[in-house]
Amino acid sequence: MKSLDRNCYNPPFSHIYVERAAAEHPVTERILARFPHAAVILIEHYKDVFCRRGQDYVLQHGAQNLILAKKRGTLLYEGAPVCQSFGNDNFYYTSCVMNCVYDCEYCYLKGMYPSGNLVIFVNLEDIFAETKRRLAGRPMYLCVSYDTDLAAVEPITGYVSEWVKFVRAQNAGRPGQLKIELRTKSADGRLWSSLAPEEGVICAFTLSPQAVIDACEHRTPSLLQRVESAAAALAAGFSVRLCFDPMIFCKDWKEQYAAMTEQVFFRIPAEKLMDVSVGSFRISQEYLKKMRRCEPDSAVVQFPFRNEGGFYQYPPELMEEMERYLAERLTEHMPPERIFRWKA
Amino acid sequence: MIYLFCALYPEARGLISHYGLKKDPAENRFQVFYNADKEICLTVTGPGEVAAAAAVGSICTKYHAGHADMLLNIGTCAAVALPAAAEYRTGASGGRADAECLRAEPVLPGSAFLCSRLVEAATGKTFYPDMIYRHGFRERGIVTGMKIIDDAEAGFCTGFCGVPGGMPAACAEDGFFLYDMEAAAVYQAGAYFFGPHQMSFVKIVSDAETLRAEGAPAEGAPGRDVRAEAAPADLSARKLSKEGLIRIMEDSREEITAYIDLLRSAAGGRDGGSDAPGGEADAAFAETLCRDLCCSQTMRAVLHQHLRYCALAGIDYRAAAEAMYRDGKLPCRDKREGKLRFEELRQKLL
Repeated sequence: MKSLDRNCYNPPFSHIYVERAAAEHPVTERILARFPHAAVILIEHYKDVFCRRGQDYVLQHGAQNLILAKKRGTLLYEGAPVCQSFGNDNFYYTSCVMNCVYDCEYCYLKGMYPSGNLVIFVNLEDIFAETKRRLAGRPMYLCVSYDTDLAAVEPITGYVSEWVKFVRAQNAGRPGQLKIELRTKSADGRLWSSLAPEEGVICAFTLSPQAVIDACEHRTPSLLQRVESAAAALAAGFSVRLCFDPMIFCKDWKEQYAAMTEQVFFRIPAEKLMDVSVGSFRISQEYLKKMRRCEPDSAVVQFPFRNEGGFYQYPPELMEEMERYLAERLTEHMPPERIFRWKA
Repeated sequence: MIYLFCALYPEARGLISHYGLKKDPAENRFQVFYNADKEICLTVTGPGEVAAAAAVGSICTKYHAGHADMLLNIGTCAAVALPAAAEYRTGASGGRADAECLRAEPVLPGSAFLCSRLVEAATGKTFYPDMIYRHGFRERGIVTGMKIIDDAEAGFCTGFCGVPGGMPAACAEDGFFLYDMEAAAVYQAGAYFFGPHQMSFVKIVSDAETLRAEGAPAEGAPGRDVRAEAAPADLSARKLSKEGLIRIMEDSREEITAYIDLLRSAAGGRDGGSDAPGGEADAAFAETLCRDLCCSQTMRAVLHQHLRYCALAGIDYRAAAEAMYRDGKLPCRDKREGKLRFEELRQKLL
């Protein structure tokens, strides 16, 4: 694939698969209007396309197509053990979009999904209804951008804006009832300045050293662009979290992460941050097995990880050294209680 | 390798001559034409789903088709216009697809299509080849059936395999659908060897017909493709002469061969990603190292993973190992020493 002329491939979203049941949904109509030249293919169920046997995730991702569908069945999921809960109880996540427009070699989506195509569930109102139902009992911490980068596809979906409005409505008169995390590598600072800030919305920016971005976070904004976007979110009044997660090993990782820390805090006032998270790369063994098969030439997934209880991670001493090193750099800028390290 | 499958020899003839394919005399069940230099293998399957599936299974097994190969089904099909097409167009979908119907382009015999969706008439199952590569064709879904469609009546159309709304709702996106007798079968047989990104279906319209339905519109009424009526007599449903078929394929040859050439370069590009990133020399060195470290099977796998990572990350593992040879730490006497030396090597590498 690497040697193939990019001109061989269709541009992204050249084809849009539309579930018959979702065809008349206003979100579908809005998205289709955004891609007037795309070929529209009607399907019965998104899994007819998304879950076909023998798909090539990497190749599909290079010429990514779009699937518009209705989400059925489970709409909210309990937080996975490899995910950081930041001390919150009642931790859930939801997938209103599956897959990502960015192409990070280490991304677990490559191991989790059978297809590289992007699925947008158009019935966001059903996810809102389910969230409301679960909120009846106790406050909830909900991650809405785990299996995608919601902010990166905001021009297509408008879902970030919808979530912000929804959180505001839920928290009206009951502050702190619903807290959502929007994790992103995107760098459109205008998005945050165009939205009225809401306390229950945490804008979480995943940051990596520029060398790591260059090596394995393809099609993503640069470190400086992400930092600028985080600064814009802060300036707009949003709660901002910085996620140094996953940390990726490279030969000169200490220099890279030290330089990154300096670049970040040169621009971001640490005292204004809600918190930061630190975690080295870890992934379930099933996902890594698939990723190694479909990315045979990716150093980051071919690292000789250790298998600890079904999850691959860096050797314990290396993992500890990496995370502790970065945490110590961060404590130079902010108190340790606002630095979260992932614990299994 | 590009595996081409055509139902009839006249559909294949132009490609055989264009690529200089030679008949494989050893193959006696199907006509197979081959060019090892160009990595093209063309098979004439015979018409119908069973023949097509049997040929794909047989040839792909014989030639060990796999992840670096491509399958392309090329042939002719019918373009079937629907009576009162507007009420069928997209079933319940409405919206933009309906709007598109209104400006549907005409379907003339000789029009070439890349199929984005294959519907098996017998079961109603639908298959979706990936639409990844650039091409110059129009795109369309196709229905694969076991009988010639010119005898079809409204019952066949609207009672189609329990699909709500019948075949038109399932298949006809702007007042017509394509119909052949092989594509869905080729896909299903091909799926044992290829992923959906490796299979393409190019169909050339050899005849354009309007379905007869109860109360069907008279000639010239809306929904009837009047261009089809103007087609030469020898292009009527499946009554094409051999020469007519050759001519129709010849007219699209440039488009088809351009697509085949694109698939060939794509297949060539996908040949990369070897098991041994450092090549054969590194593989031999790795084997020597395994032996000299007295590796068990488990340790061997771990060592290979280390070396693979080092090769990709640009870490000079040869220099680290050779230093250990110079220091007399390699080769090891037994597994116990091997474990210690392996750990030492690992520390040097990471």
